[in-house]
Amino acid sequence: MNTKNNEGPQPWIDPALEARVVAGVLGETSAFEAAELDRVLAENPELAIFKRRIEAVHALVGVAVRRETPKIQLSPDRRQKLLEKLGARPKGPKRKVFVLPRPFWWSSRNLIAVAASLVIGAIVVTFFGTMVVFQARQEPADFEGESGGLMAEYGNAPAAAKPMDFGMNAAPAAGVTVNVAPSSIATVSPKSGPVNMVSTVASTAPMAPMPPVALSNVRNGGTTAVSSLDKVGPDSAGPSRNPEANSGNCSSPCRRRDVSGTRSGVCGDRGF
Amino acid sequence: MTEPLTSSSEPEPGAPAAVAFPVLAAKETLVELFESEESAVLGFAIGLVGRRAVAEELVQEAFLRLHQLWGQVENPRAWLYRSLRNLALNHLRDHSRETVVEEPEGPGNEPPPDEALGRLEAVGMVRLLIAELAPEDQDLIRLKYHDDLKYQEISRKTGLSVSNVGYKLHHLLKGLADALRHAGIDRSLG
Repeated sequence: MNTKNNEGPQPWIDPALEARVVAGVLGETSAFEAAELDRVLAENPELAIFKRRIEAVHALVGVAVRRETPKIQLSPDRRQKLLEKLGARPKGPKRKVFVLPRPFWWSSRNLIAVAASLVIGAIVVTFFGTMVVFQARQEPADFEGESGGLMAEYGNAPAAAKPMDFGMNAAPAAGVTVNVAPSSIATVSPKSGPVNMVSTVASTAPMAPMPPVALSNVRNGGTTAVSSLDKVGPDSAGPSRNPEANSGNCSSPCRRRDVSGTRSGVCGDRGF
Repeated sequence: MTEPLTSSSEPEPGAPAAVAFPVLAAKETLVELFESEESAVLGFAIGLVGRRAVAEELVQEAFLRLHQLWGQVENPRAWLYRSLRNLALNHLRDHSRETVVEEPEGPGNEPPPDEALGRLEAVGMVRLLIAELAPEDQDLIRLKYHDDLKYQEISRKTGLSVSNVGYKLHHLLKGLADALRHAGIDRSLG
Protein backbone atom coordinates (compact mmCIF):
# COMPACT_ATOMS: atom_id res chain seq x y z
CA MET A 1 0.00 0.00 0.00
CA ASN A 2 1.37 3.30 -1.02
CA THR A 3 1.10 5.67 1.87
CA LYS A 4 2.94 8.42 0.19
CA ASN A 5 0.97 11.57 -0.29
CA ASN A 6 1.82 13.41 -3.46
CA GLU A 7 -0.76 16.09 -3.06
CA GLY A 8 1.45 18.63 -1.49
CA PRO A 9 3.18 19.00 1.79
CA GLN A 10 1.19 18.18 4.87
CA PRO A 11 1.82 19.89 8.15
CA TRP A 12 3.79 17.85 10.57
CA ILE A 13 1.78 16.67 13.55
CA ASP A 14 3.21 15.15 16.64
CA PRO A 15 2.71 11.36 16.28
CA ALA A 16 1.76 11.13 19.95
CA LEU A 17 -1.05 13.61 19.34
CA GLU A 18 -2.12 11.69 16.23
CA ALA A 19 -2.24 8.48 18.24
CA ARG A 20 -4.41 10.19 20.85
CA VAL A 21 -6.76 11.42 18.12
CA VAL A 22 -7.02 7.95 16.60
CA ALA A 23 -7.67 6.45 20.02
CA GLY A 24 -10.39 9.04 20.56
CA VAL A 25 -12.01 8.23 17.20
CA LEU A 26 -11.91 4.52 17.98
CA GLY A 27 -13.49 5.09 21.40
CA GLU A 28 -10.48 4.13 23.44
CA THR A 29 -10.22 7.26 25.59
CA SER A 30 -11.75 8.03 28.93
CA ALA A 31 -13.99 11.03 29.49
CA PHE A 32 -11.14 12.98 30.99
CA GLU A 33 -8.84 12.20 28.06
CA ALA A 34 -11.60 13.09 25.59
CA ALA A 35 -12.09 16.47 27.23
CA GLU A 36 -8.36 17.11 27.19
CA LEU A 37 -8.22 16.10 23.50
CA ASP A 38 -11.06 18.48 22.63
CA ARG A 39 -9.12 21.30 24.22
CA VAL A 40 -6.03 20.45 22.16
CA LEU A 41 -8.09 20.15 18.96
CA ALA A 42 -9.59 23.56 19.52
CA GLU A 43 -6.11 25.03 19.69
CA ASN A 44 -4.76 23.10 16.67
CA PRO A 45 -6.85 23.30 13.46
CA GLU A 46 -4.49 21.03 11.55
CA LEU A 47 -5.04 18.36 14.14
CA ALA A 48 -8.80 18.90 13.74
CA ILE A 49 -8.47 18.24 9.98
CA PHE A 50 -6.54 15.09 10.73
CA LYS A 51 -9.28 13.98 13.06
CA ARG A 52 -11.94 14.56 10.37
CA ARG A 53 -10.00 12.46 7.89
CA ILE A 54 -9.56 9.65 10.38
CA GLU A 55 -13.27 9.74 11.17
CA ALA A 56 -14.08 9.41 7.46
CA VAL A 57 -11.72 6.48 7.03
CA HIS A 58 -13.06 4.92 10.21
CA ALA A 59 -16.59 5.03 8.79
CA LEU A 60 -15.51 3.59 5.44
CA VAL A 61 -13.52 0.79 7.02
CA GLY A 62 -16.50 -0.08 9.19
CA VAL A 63 -18.75 -0.32 6.14
CA ALA A 64 -16.16 -2.26 4.16
CA VAL A 65 -15.38 -4.76 6.91
CA ARG A 66 -18.92 -5.28 8.18
CA ARG A 67 -20.27 -5.38 4.62
CA GLU A 68 -23.07 -3.01 5.42
CA THR A 69 -23.70 -2.19 1.77
CA PRO A 70 -26.89 -3.61 0.28
CA LYS A 71 -26.40 -6.99 -1.35
CA ILE A 72 -26.55 -6.82 -5.13
CA GLN A 73 -25.97 -9.51 -7.71
CA LEU A 74 -25.31 -9.88 -11.37
CA SER A 75 -28.30 -10.44 -13.60
CA PRO A 76 -29.48 -14.05 -13.26
CA ASP A 77 -28.58 -15.05 -16.82
CA ARG A 78 -25.10 -13.55 -16.65
CA ARG A 79 -24.56 -14.94 -13.19
CA GLN A 80 -25.51 -18.45 -14.25
CA LYS A 81 -23.24 -18.38 -17.29
CA LEU A 82 -20.34 -17.01 -15.28
CA LEU A 83 -20.73 -19.60 -12.56
CA GLU A 84 -20.73 -22.37 -15.15
CA LYS A 85 -17.60 -20.90 -16.65
CA LEU A 86 -15.93 -20.74 -13.26
CA GLY A 87 -16.67 -24.39 -12.67
CA ALA A 88 -19.52 -24.26 -10.21
CA ARG A 89 -21.75 -27.28 -10.21
CA PRO A 90 -25.37 -26.55 -10.99
CA LYS A 91 -27.51 -26.87 -7.94
CA GLY A 92 -29.82 -29.81 -8.26
CA PRO A 93 -31.83 -31.94 -5.92
CA LYS A 94 -29.69 -33.48 -3.29
CA ARG A 95 -29.03 -37.16 -3.57
CA LYS A 96 -29.60 -39.37 -0.64
CA VAL A 97 -26.43 -41.02 0.44
CA PHE A 98 -26.58 -44.11 2.58
CA VAL A 99 -23.52 -44.75 4.59
CA LEU A 100 -22.93 -48.39 5.34
CA PRO A 101 -21.40 -49.26 8.68
CA ARG A 102 -17.78 -50.05 8.38
CA PRO A 103 -15.90 -52.73 10.24
CA PHE A 104 -13.73 -51.50 13.05
CA TRP A 105 -10.52 -52.07 11.14
CA TRP A 106 -11.68 -49.98 8.20
CA SER A 107 -9.96 -46.85 9.27
CA SER A 108 -6.37 -46.60 8.18
CA ARG A 109 -5.05 -46.50 11.75
CA ASN A 110 -6.76 -49.72 12.75
CA LEU A 111 -5.78 -51.33 9.48
CA ILE A 112 -2.16 -50.46 10.05
CA ALA A 113 -2.30 -51.79 13.61
CA VAL A 114 -3.75 -55.10 12.46
CA ALA A 115 -1.18 -55.44 9.69
CA ALA A 116 1.66 -54.62 12.06
CA SER A 117 0.42 -57.21 14.53
CA LEU A 118 0.31 -59.86 11.83
CA VAL A 119 3.80 -59.06 10.63
CA ILE A 120 5.24 -59.07 14.15
CA GLY A 121 3.49 -62.33 14.91
CA ALA A 122 4.86 -63.91 11.74
CA ILE A 123 8.36 -62.75 12.60
CA VAL A 124 8.14 -64.15 16.11
CA VAL A 125 6.80 -67.50 14.94
CA THR A 126 9.47 -67.77 12.26
CA PHE A 127 12.24 -66.82 14.65
CA PHE A 128 11.31 -69.29 17.35
CA GLY A 129 10.59 -71.99 14.82
CA THR A 130 14.07 -71.53 13.41
CA MET A 131 15.54 -71.64 16.88
CA VAL A 132 13.83 -74.91 17.72
CA VAL A 133 14.97 -76.52 14.50
CA PHE A 134 18.49 -75.26 15.04
CA GLN A 135 18.58 -76.66 18.55
CA ALA A 136 17.26 -79.99 17.43
CA ARG A 137 19.92 -80.26 14.76
CA GLN A 138 22.72 -79.54 17.19
CA GLU A 139 21.74 -82.27 19.61
CA PRO A 140 23.32 -85.69 19.14
CA ALA A 141 21.28 -88.27 17.49
CA ASP A 142 22.08 -91.02 19.98
CA PHE A 143 22.74 -91.25 23.64
CA GLU A 144 26.37 -90.51 23.44
CA GLY A 145 26.73 -87.03 24.54
CA GLU A 146 29.85 -85.05 24.22
CA SER A 147 28.89 -82.04 26.15
CA GLY A 148 29.66 -83.20 29.58
CA GLY A 149 27.33 -86.00 30.36
CA LEU A 150 28.15 -89.63 30.59
CA MET A 151 28.55 -91.55 27.45
CA ALA A 152 26.21 -94.36 27.14
CA GLU A 153 27.60 -97.72 26.59
CA TYR A 154 24.57 -98.77 24.93
CA GLY A 155 26.36 -100.87 22.44
CA ASN A 156 28.08 -102.90 25.21
CA ALA A 157 25.00 -103.66 27.15
CA PRO A 158 23.77 -107.18 27.10
CA ALA A 159 21.17 -107.95 24.61
CA ALA A 160 18.77 -108.75 27.35
CA ALA A 161 19.04 -105.33 28.57
CA LYS A 162 17.86 -103.86 25.34
CA PRO A 163 15.70 -102.03 25.13
CA MET A 164 16.08 -100.20 28.33
CA ASP A 165 13.79 -98.10 30.26
CA PHE A 166 14.90 -94.55 30.35
CA GLY A 167 11.98 -93.26 32.20
CA MET A 168 12.19 -91.01 35.11
CA ASN A 169 11.04 -93.57 37.57
CA ALA A 170 14.39 -93.79 39.17
CA ALA A 171 14.57 -90.75 41.32
CA PRO A 172 18.01 -89.38 41.74
CA ALA A 173 19.57 -89.40 45.07
CA ALA A 174 19.92 -86.31 47.09
CA GLY A 175 22.50 -83.97 45.74
CA VAL A 176 22.34 -85.49 42.34
CA THR A 177 21.48 -83.50 39.31
CA VAL A 178 19.86 -85.20 36.45
CA ASN A 179 20.69 -83.78 33.10
CA VAL A 180 18.33 -85.14 30.60
CA ALA A 181 18.37 -83.79 27.18
CA PRO A 182 14.96 -83.00 25.90
CA SER A 183 15.61 -84.85 22.76
CA SER A 184 17.03 -87.93 24.38
CA ILE A 185 15.39 -90.91 23.02
CA ALA A 186 13.94 -93.10 25.65
CA THR A 187 12.20 -96.28 24.99
CA VAL A 188 10.20 -98.05 27.56
CA SER A 189 10.10 -101.73 27.65
CA PRO A 190 7.64 -103.42 29.89
CA LYS A 191 10.03 -106.31 30.30
CA SER A 192 12.97 -104.37 31.29
CA GLY A 193 12.20 -104.56 34.92
CA PRO A 194 13.54 -101.87 37.12
CA VAL A 195 14.23 -98.56 35.61
CA ASN A 196 17.59 -97.79 34.23
CA MET A 197 18.29 -94.44 32.97
CA VAL A 198 20.64 -93.81 30.17
CA SER A 199 20.69 -90.46 28.85
CA THR A 200 23.01 -87.89 27.58
CA VAL A 201 23.73 -84.50 28.64
CA ALA A 202 23.05 -82.69 25.50
CA SER A 203 23.00 -79.21 26.55
CA THR A 204 22.52 -76.84 23.73
CA ALA A 205 24.34 -74.19 25.62
CA PRO A 206 27.97 -73.55 24.84
CA MET A 207 30.39 -75.85 26.47
CA ALA A 208 30.74 -74.66 30.00
CA PRO A 209 33.42 -75.79 32.39
CA MET A 210 32.13 -78.63 34.36
CA PRO A 211 33.69 -80.77 37.01
CA PRO A 212 35.08 -84.07 36.02
CA VAL A 213 32.38 -86.50 35.43
CA ALA A 214 32.41 -89.97 36.70
CA LEU A 215 31.41 -92.85 34.66
CA SER A 216 29.30 -95.04 36.74
CA ASN A 217 28.10 -98.35 35.62
CA VAL A 218 24.91 -99.03 37.17
CA ARG A 219 24.07 -102.57 37.40
CA ASN A 220 20.56 -102.95 38.22
CA GLY A 221 18.62 -106.08 37.72
CA GLY A 222 21.09 -107.43 35.29
CA THR A 223 20.91 -104.40 33.10
CA THR A 224 24.06 -102.58 32.45
CA ALA A 225 23.69 -99.02 31.60
CA VAL A 226 25.57 -95.87 31.87
CA SER A 227 23.75 -93.27 33.74
CA SER A 228 24.06 -89.64 33.31
CA LEU A 229 23.44 -89.01 36.94
CA ASP A 230 26.24 -86.74 37.77
CA LYS A 231 26.93 -86.05 41.29
CA VAL A 232 27.28 -82.44 41.97
CA GLY A 233 28.74 -81.68 45.25
CA PRO A 234 31.72 -82.46 47.27
CA ASP A 235 32.08 -85.83 45.64
CA SER A 236 32.05 -84.52 42.15
CA ALA A 237 34.78 -81.97 42.56
CA GLY A 238 37.60 -84.46 42.24
CA PRO A 239 38.73 -86.60 39.42
CA SER A 240 36.58 -89.28 38.06
CA ARG A 241 36.07 -92.42 40.07
CA ASN A 242 36.79 -94.41 37.04
CA PRO A 243 40.51 -94.79 36.92
CA GLU A 244 40.39 -95.88 33.38
CA ALA A 245 38.72 -92.72 32.41
CA ASN A 246 41.23 -90.69 34.31
CA SER A 247 44.12 -92.44 32.78
CA GLY A 248 42.68 -92.32 29.36
CA ASN A 249 43.05 -96.08 29.05
CA CYS A 250 39.49 -96.92 29.01
CA SER A 251 39.02 -100.47 28.00
CA SER A 252 35.52 -100.03 26.84
CA PRO A 253 35.13 -98.80 23.33
CA CYS A 254 33.68 -95.45 24.18
CA ARG A 255 32.61 -93.61 21.21
CA ARG A 256 31.97 -90.07 20.73
CA ARG A 257 30.11 -88.44 18.05
CA ASP A 258 30.75 -84.95 17.19
CA VAL A 259 28.40 -82.67 15.51
CA SER A 260 29.33 -83.87 12.10
CA GLY A 261 28.48 -87.40 13.12
CA THR A 262 31.98 -88.82 13.04
CA ARG A 263 33.03 -90.97 15.91
CA SER A 264 36.25 -90.13 17.54
CA GLY A 265 38.07 -89.93 20.79
CA VAL A 266 37.97 -91.89 23.94
CA CYS A 267 36.24 -91.49 27.22
CA GLY A 268 39.03 -89.69 28.97
CA ASP A 269 39.60 -87.39 26.13
CA ARG A 270 37.02 -84.85 26.97
CA GLY A 271 39.05 -81.81 27.06
CA PHE A 272 37.71 -80.60 30.36
CA MET B 1 -20.08 -3.07 -24.61
CA THR B 2 -21.33 -6.55 -25.07
CA GLU B 3 -18.41 -8.88 -25.07
CA PRO B 4 -18.81 -12.61 -25.37
CA LEU B 5 -18.40 -14.75 -22.32
CA THR B 6 -14.76 -15.30 -22.95
CA SER B 7 -11.70 -13.58 -21.77
CA SER B 8 -8.69 -12.38 -23.61
CA SER B 9 -5.60 -14.37 -22.84
CA GLU B 10 -3.40 -11.33 -22.33
CA PRO B 11 -4.00 -9.29 -19.24
CA GLU B 12 -4.70 -5.63 -19.47
CA PRO B 13 -1.55 -3.49 -19.47
CA GLY B 14 -2.64 -1.86 -16.27
CA ALA B 15 -3.54 -5.09 -14.60
CA PRO B 16 -1.56 -5.98 -11.49
CA ALA B 17 1.11 -8.60 -11.47
CA ALA B 18 -0.09 -12.09 -10.79
CA VAL B 19 2.04 -12.54 -7.70
CA ALA B 20 2.04 -9.02 -6.40
CA PHE B 21 0.26 -9.69 -3.13
CA PRO B 22 1.04 -11.91 -0.20
CA VAL B 23 -0.80 -15.04 0.65
CA LEU B 24 -3.46 -14.37 3.23
CA ALA B 25 -4.79 -17.67 4.34
CA ALA B 26 -5.83 -21.00 2.92
CA LYS B 27 -6.77 -20.22 -0.63
CA GLU B 28 -10.47 -20.43 -1.25
CA THR B 29 -11.90 -21.65 -4.50
CA LEU B 30 -12.82 -19.22 -7.23
CA VAL B 31 -16.50 -20.02 -6.85
CA GLU B 32 -16.28 -19.32 -3.13
CA LEU B 33 -14.55 -16.04 -3.84
CA PHE B 34 -17.26 -15.16 -6.34
CA GLU B 35 -20.01 -15.97 -3.86
CA SER B 36 -18.41 -13.85 -1.14
CA GLU B 37 -17.28 -10.87 -3.22
CA GLU B 38 -19.89 -10.62 -5.94
CA SER B 39 -21.91 -7.93 -4.24
CA ALA B 40 -18.90 -5.93 -3.09
CA VAL B 41 -17.09 -5.89 -6.41
CA LEU B 42 -20.28 -5.11 -8.28
CA GLY B 43 -20.89 -2.15 -5.96
CA PHE B 44 -17.29 -1.08 -6.45
CA ALA B 45 -17.70 -1.26 -10.23
CA ILE B 46 -20.95 0.68 -10.12
CA GLY B 47 -19.22 3.29 -8.01
CA LEU B 48 -16.43 3.51 -10.55
CA VAL B 49 -18.33 3.63 -13.85
CA GLY B 50 -21.76 4.74 -12.66
CA ARG B 51 -23.75 2.31 -14.85
CA ARG B 52 -25.04 -1.02 -13.73
CA ALA B 53 -24.84 -2.80 -17.09
CA VAL B 54 -21.27 -1.76 -17.69
CA ALA B 55 -20.35 -2.64 -14.13
CA GLU B 56 -21.71 -6.16 -14.59
CA GLU B 57 -19.66 -6.65 -17.72
CA LEU B 58 -16.53 -5.44 -15.95
CA VAL B 59 -17.14 -7.75 -13.03
CA GLN B 60 -17.66 -10.66 -15.39
CA GLU B 61 -14.47 -9.85 -17.23
CA ALA B 62 -12.50 -9.53 -14.03
CA PHE B 63 -13.65 -12.92 -12.78
CA LEU B 64 -12.91 -14.56 -16.12
CA ARG B 65 -9.39 -13.16 -16.11
CA LEU B 66 -8.89 -14.36 -12.58
CA HIS B 67 -10.14 -17.76 -13.65
CA GLN B 68 -7.39 -17.93 -16.27
CA LEU B 69 -4.67 -16.89 -13.83
CA TRP B 70 -5.99 -18.69 -10.79
CA GLY B 71 -2.97 -20.90 -10.38
CA GLN B 72 -0.57 -17.97 -10.42
CA VAL B 73 -2.38 -15.41 -8.31
CA GLU B 74 -1.39 -15.52 -4.67
CA ASN B 75 -3.89 -13.01 -3.32
CA PRO B 76 -6.99 -13.43 -5.48
CA ARG B 77 -9.15 -10.98 -3.57
CA ALA B 78 -6.72 -8.08 -3.90
CA TRP B 79 -6.00 -9.05 -7.51
CA LEU B 80 -9.72 -9.03 -8.29
CA TYR B 81 -10.30 -5.54 -6.87
CA ARG B 82 -7.19 -4.12 -8.49
CA SER B 83 -7.99 -5.70 -11.84
CA LEU B 84 -11.57 -4.46 -11.68
CA ARG B 85 -10.41 -0.94 -10.92
CA ASN B 86 -7.99 -1.03 -13.85
CA LEU B 87 -10.72 -2.34 -16.15
CA ALA B 88 -13.03 0.45 -15.03
CA LEU B 89 -10.40 3.12 -15.52
CA ASN B 90 -9.63 1.75 -18.99
CA HIS B 91 -13.32 1.75 -19.82
CA LEU B 92 -13.75 5.34 -18.65
CA ARG B 93 -10.74 6.42 -20.67
CA ASP B 94 -11.86 4.57 -23.81
CA HIS B 95 -15.43 5.79 -23.61
CA SER B 96 -14.85 9.29 -22.32
CA ARG B 97 -16.31 10.90 -25.45
CA GLU B 98 -19.36 8.73 -25.62
CA THR B 99 -22.72 10.14 -24.64
CA VAL B 100 -25.21 7.90 -23.00
CA VAL B 101 -28.36 7.81 -25.11
CA GLU B 102 -30.02 4.96 -23.31
CA GLU B 103 -33.72 4.81 -22.91
CA PRO B 104 -34.97 6.42 -19.78
CA GLU B 105 -34.55 4.26 -16.74
CA GLY B 106 -37.61 2.70 -15.25
CA PRO B 107 -38.69 3.14 -11.68
CA GLY B 108 -36.22 1.53 -9.29
CA ASN B 109 -33.59 1.40 -12.00
CA GLU B 110 -32.39 4.95 -11.78
CA PRO B 111 -28.69 5.54 -11.68
CA PRO B 112 -27.49 6.19 -8.16
CA PRO B 113 -26.67 9.76 -7.28
CA ASP B 114 -23.10 10.93 -7.37
CA GLU B 115 -22.80 10.83 -3.63
CA ALA B 116 -23.85 7.20 -3.54
CA LEU B 117 -21.49 6.39 -6.38
CA GLY B 118 -18.65 8.07 -4.56
CA ARG B 119 -19.40 6.08 -1.45
CA LEU B 120 -19.55 2.79 -3.37
CA GLU B 121 -16.24 3.59 -4.97
CA ALA B 122 -14.68 4.57 -1.66
CA VAL B 123 -15.87 1.43 0.10
CA GLY B 124 -14.60 -0.70 -2.75
CA MET B 125 -11.27 1.07 -2.64
CA VAL B 126 -11.01 0.47 1.09
CA ARG B 127 -11.68 -3.22 0.51
CA LEU B 128 -8.97 -3.27 -2.09
CA LEU B 129 -6.49 -1.57 0.24
CA ILE B 130 -7.35 -3.90 3.13
CA ALA B 131 -6.95 -6.93 0.89
CA GLU B 132 -3.45 -5.73 0.08
CA LEU B 133 -2.43 -5.36 3.73
CA ALA B 134 -0.24 -7.85 5.52
CA PRO B 135 -2.20 -10.69 7.11
CA GLU B 136 -1.45 -9.55 10.66
CA ASP B 137 -2.66 -6.05 9.81
CA GLN B 138 -5.81 -7.49 8.30
CA ASP B 139 -6.34 -9.38 11.54
CA LEU B 140 -6.05 -6.18 13.54
CA ILE B 141 -8.61 -4.46 11.31
CA ARG B 142 -10.96 -7.41 11.61
CA LEU B 143 -10.63 -7.60 15.40
CA LYS B 144 -11.33 -3.89 15.74
CA TYR B 145 -14.08 -3.38 13.16
CA HIS B 146 -15.70 -6.77 12.73
CA ASP B 147 -15.38 -8.14 16.26
CA ASP B 148 -15.61 -4.64 17.76
CA LEU B 149 -12.92 -5.31 20.39
CA LYS B 150 -11.14 -2.77 22.58
CA TYR B 151 -7.38 -2.31 22.53
CA GLN B 152 -7.09 -4.37 25.70
CA GLU B 153 -8.97 -7.32 24.23
CA ILE B 154 -7.02 -7.14 20.99
CA SER B 155 -3.83 -7.13 23.05
CA ARG B 156 -4.88 -10.32 24.80
CA LYS B 157 -5.79 -12.01 21.54
CA THR B 158 -2.73 -11.03 19.57
CA GLY B 159 -0.07 -10.90 22.28
CA LEU B 160 0.79 -7.34 21.34
CA SER B 161 1.02 -4.70 24.05
CA VAL B 162 -1.88 -2.27 24.35
CA SER B 163 0.28 0.63 23.27
CA ASN B 164 1.51 -1.40 20.29
CA VAL B 165 -2.07 -2.15 19.26
CA GLY B 166 -2.85 1.58 19.38
CA TYR B 167 0.30 2.40 17.46
CA LYS B 168 -0.42 -0.12 14.72
CA LEU B 169 -4.06 0.88 14.30
CA HIS B 170 -3.07 4.51 14.22
CA HIS B 171 -0.64 3.90 11.39
CA LEU B 172 -3.04 1.60 9.56
CA LEU B 173 -5.82 4.18 9.53
CA LYS B 174 -3.47 6.96 8.64
CA GLY B 175 -2.04 4.88 5.82
CA LEU B 176 -5.52 4.06 4.51
CA ALA B 177 -6.43 7.73 4.58
CA ASP B 178 -3.31 8.67 2.68
CA ALA B 179 -3.87 5.88 0.13
CA LEU B 180 -7.46 6.97 -0.43
CA ARG B 181 -6.38 10.52 -0.97
CA HIS B 182 -3.72 9.26 -3.35
CA ALA B 183 -6.40 7.31 -5.25
CA GLY B 184 -8.44 10.45 -5.64
CA ILE B 185 -11.03 9.50 -3.08
CA ASP B 186 -10.93 12.52 -0.89
CA ARG B 187 -14.43 13.82 -1.13
CA SER B 188 -15.25 12.64 2.33
CA LEU B 189 -11.77 12.76 3.73
CA GLY B 190 -11.59 16.40 4.47
